[in-house]
Amino acid sequence: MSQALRAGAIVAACACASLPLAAEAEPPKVKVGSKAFTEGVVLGELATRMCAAGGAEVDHRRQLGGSVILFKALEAGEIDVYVEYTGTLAAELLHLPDARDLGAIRRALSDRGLVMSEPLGFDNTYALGVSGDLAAKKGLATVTQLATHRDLVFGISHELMERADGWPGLQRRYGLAPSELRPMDHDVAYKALAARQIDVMDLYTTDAEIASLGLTVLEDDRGYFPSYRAVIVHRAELATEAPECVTQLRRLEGAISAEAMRAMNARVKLEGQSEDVAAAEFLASRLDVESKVSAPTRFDRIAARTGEHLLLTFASLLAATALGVPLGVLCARFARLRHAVLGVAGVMQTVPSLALLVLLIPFLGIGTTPAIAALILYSLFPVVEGTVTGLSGIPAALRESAEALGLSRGFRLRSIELPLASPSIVSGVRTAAVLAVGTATIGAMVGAGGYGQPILTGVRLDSVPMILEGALPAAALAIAVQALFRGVERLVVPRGVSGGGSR
Amino acid sequence: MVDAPSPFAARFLGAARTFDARSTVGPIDLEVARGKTTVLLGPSGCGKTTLLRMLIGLAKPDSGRVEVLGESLDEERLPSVRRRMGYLIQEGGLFPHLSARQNVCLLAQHVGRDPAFIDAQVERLSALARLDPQLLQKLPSELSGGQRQRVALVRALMLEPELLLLDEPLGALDPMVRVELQEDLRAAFRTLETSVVMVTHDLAEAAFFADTLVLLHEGKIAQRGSLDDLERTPASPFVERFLSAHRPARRREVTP
Repeated sequence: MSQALRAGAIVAACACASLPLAAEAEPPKVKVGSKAFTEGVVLGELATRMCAAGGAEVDHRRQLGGSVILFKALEAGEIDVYVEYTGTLAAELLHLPDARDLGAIRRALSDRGLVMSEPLGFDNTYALGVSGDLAAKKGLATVTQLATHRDLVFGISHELMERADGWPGLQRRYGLAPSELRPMDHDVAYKALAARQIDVMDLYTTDAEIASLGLTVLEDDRGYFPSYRAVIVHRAELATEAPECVTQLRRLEGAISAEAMRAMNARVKLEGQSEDVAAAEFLASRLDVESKVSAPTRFDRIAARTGEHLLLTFASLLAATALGVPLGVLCARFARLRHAVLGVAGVMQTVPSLALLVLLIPFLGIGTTPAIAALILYSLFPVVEGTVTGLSGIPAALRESAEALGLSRGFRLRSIELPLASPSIVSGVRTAAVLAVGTATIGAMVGAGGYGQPILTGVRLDSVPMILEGALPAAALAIAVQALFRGVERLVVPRGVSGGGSR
Repeated sequence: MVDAPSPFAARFLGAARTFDARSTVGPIDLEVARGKTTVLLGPSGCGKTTLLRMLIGLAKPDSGRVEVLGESLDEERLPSVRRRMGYLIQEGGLFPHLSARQNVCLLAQHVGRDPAFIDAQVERLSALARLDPQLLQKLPSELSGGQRQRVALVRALMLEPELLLLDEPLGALDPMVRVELQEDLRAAFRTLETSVVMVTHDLAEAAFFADTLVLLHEGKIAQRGSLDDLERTPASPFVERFLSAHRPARRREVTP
């Protein structure tokens, strides 16, 4: 009893002694996540800079795929904060009936240990838009007014066409009667409207193009579209771990109008500025927050991405080989295991990589670990298959000669069977390596970086040079890996064993 | 190793194995004499190779059993019994990724034999098998068929086997090389005084090597004895047919 007390006193004393030290020496670490589209990254950058203003050491894990990945990462504590939309929270993440009921959303989040800020201002919902000319000529300001015109061509995005709360309901609610209805890609619709091939299109209310093309956004006067107001969601613990950050983040509440958001999107999408610049400019002019903008050179970026990509590729390849060859050896010996393993591994190949990553988040979080785990699962199949093919391709006469000599099983495997199977094993590992180089681009979806990062950014910004910044090094790496494996083959495959394993 | 040396190098005790409904080998009762050469002879599919594989544990009898060098071939004892035997097959079974010398020394090194012993054995046996020692540095693919069989013979003899098993050892060689190797093999067997079981489908070759012939037909022993026994008193019409089919070949090749 007294011993326990004494131990407790010592612990308490140590804790007290170390507390002020820790508080002085280390600023709180905050991880901000952002979605993989321009507005998401800009909002993530705003949150990042506000946290930095709150004295934290901030890590912005940019463009981490979609809402589900971010929300799971937040729940798992992999990130501390990100910006979400009320409509997405209600419909997709929390399954609540009404996105306008902020109280209900807040309560559901609180059950999960999460806190939601007040709306930041703008509402990035769907809307219908027409060209400024047309709006002036026909006097259009609301969707109800639009319904009185029956001579207009509508270009509606595929997504809205298919959504439960999309086009069919909209048409019914307002009694819309297009002269023609053309489902089309969202970006194409902007071009078609500019070329006057369509008159009406659906859009997001903060799209940068609204300003640049001089479009008029028609008011959803019967409140059909759900509300997509931006809010900050953070882990409840953040309020105690980094209270100053939360205070600073809250300054964004009500501070971002639709027009301001549109302008920031335009800075990035239309003027080619980085999200950092757009966010820093906004904060400096509206909230008087000064923040630094670092602009790494293209070379620095490629070097960093290369390091990340190599880590993803080779760590997963090493593990897949270390696991796959022994598994292949067992599979070659036991037919039942072989059927089971190759069956499961084959199915794994067909699981979309993004789905696999999302499934792994609860166990492995986000970042390099789940990306490597997913890559291992993909790379395993060719390695196991190559090993099984190599071992079962050994002529019976040779296998039996080794057995008849009286060599032990382990020695036979090491000194005879694996060397004879080596061309096929190396070929399997090479296939896995090339696969890993290509598939590692998905790592960017969960914040593991790599060449997928510029590709993702390039697709988002419709920037070919940016896409090439990821795609070209990835292609070069794939070629280098092929060359590397010719060297490995020379090293590993003994002279006298034919390289019949190449496929 | 064996307390009371049995007069047999190996015994089949009612050993049988069924492959499918139409092909069964055995049951066979047969003793293989020590220090002699026993030849298993017969047309293809007669079961001679299966019997040989039973002796080295590559085929397991479904019923009955096989005793080799005084031991039964259970899984546990198999590697150590196999190390007291030599096994040589048609294409030699040399490991293509190892040099001839590595092939030859593999087992001796694996069981931890003294390097001096290994070197001495390689030298002595190469001479016995009339194998040019320089060829030992080469890979099997760089050797001729005859050279490969000589290497395989040296490998099989490396640990001084008490029983040597040969499955059509000369089957893949051209006739000139074959005749030469036949002489060398027989000379080696006589020098070593080892027990030999050889499988062949060729009567002339069988007669050339055999102390005892065992003629097999459809998985059973048709007749056993010397060639003279078989010729003088064929046990069945099959034996007669088999002998007459091979006679011209025998006249051409067998020299007393």
